[in-house]
Amino acid sequence: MNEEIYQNNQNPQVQNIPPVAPIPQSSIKPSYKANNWIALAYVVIIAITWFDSDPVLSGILFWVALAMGLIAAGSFINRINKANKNTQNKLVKVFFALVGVGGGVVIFIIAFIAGLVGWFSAHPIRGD
Amino acid sequence: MNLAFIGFTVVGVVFAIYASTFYSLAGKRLPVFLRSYSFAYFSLALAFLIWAYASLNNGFLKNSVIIGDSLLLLGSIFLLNVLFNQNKNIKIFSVAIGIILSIIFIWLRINYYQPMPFIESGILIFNTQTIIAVILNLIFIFIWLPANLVAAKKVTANISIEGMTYAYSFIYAVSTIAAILFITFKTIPMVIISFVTLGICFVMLLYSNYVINKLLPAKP
Repeated sequence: MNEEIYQNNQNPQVQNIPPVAPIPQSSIKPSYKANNWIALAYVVIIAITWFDSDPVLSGILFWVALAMGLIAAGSFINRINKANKNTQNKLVKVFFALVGVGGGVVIFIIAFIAGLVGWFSAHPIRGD
Repeated sequence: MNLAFIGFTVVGVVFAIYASTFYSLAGKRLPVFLRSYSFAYFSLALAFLIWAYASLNNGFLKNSVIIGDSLLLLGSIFLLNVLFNQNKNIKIFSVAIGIILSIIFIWLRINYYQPMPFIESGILIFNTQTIIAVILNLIFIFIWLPANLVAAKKVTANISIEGMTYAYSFIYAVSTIAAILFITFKTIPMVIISFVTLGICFVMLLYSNYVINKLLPAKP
């Protein structure tokens, strides 16, 4: 710990960061929530690829994947947003903003893509 | 225009840039052993560039898949260095097992599960046999993802900002998933959407290296 403080003190970028206050429990919890939702979204993705020969089931899973993607993305953005509020460093703030928006979009798109796989497998518009 | 050529070239080049910037950080701001991590991404970049070339040369398609698979396995062996860096004996043992299993995999791929790729509407379709696809996905799940998480922890070990480890773990993990999806998908809309996903990941990956460079002190 002392070594870490010493290293940070040697770096002018880090010196501008005010002392980090103890992390409140409320800001830790959402990370687990976000991870849970992301995990659930991927379970649905696996389910879609598993049942892609069943038109009804994969059609339903398409909407489930979309919903999961939205919830997981929202939960993730919420988690990153809370971390963003706890820092004053502009570079880190931009980083968190980029990861929050970019990550949220990526989580949603991946769930959406999985949903599309299910949708295409259930309908004659499938391209391949 | 050949979409596969453009897609694989762009992805390959950006992976190479990412690996190169990460390599320059390892040893200066990050532990030296993380160079193995950048070598893994160099291997992946090379595989993508070979597939880009193959998408313009049908005669080379079949061989390109075997070469690409070999590079993927080589990258996985580099990542075993990252995963088991703390215990030298386990590291040597796992690398030895990794090399033996890789040789068996390539032998099976040449003799029993030969690649059957083809180009359709400008998209390279790998048409991988189920058993091979399952093995490759397991390699990504059990080697690439954990190694990415280990790298994320090592990168953020000296950054005392709440949420950084989580953010880095997320970026590294989701980029691997996006790469798998990009390789796996078969239809044009899917390939384009997954390419957009990968593009966002690249922006985050490259910026993450910039943040490391700014936040972490240089090693004396």
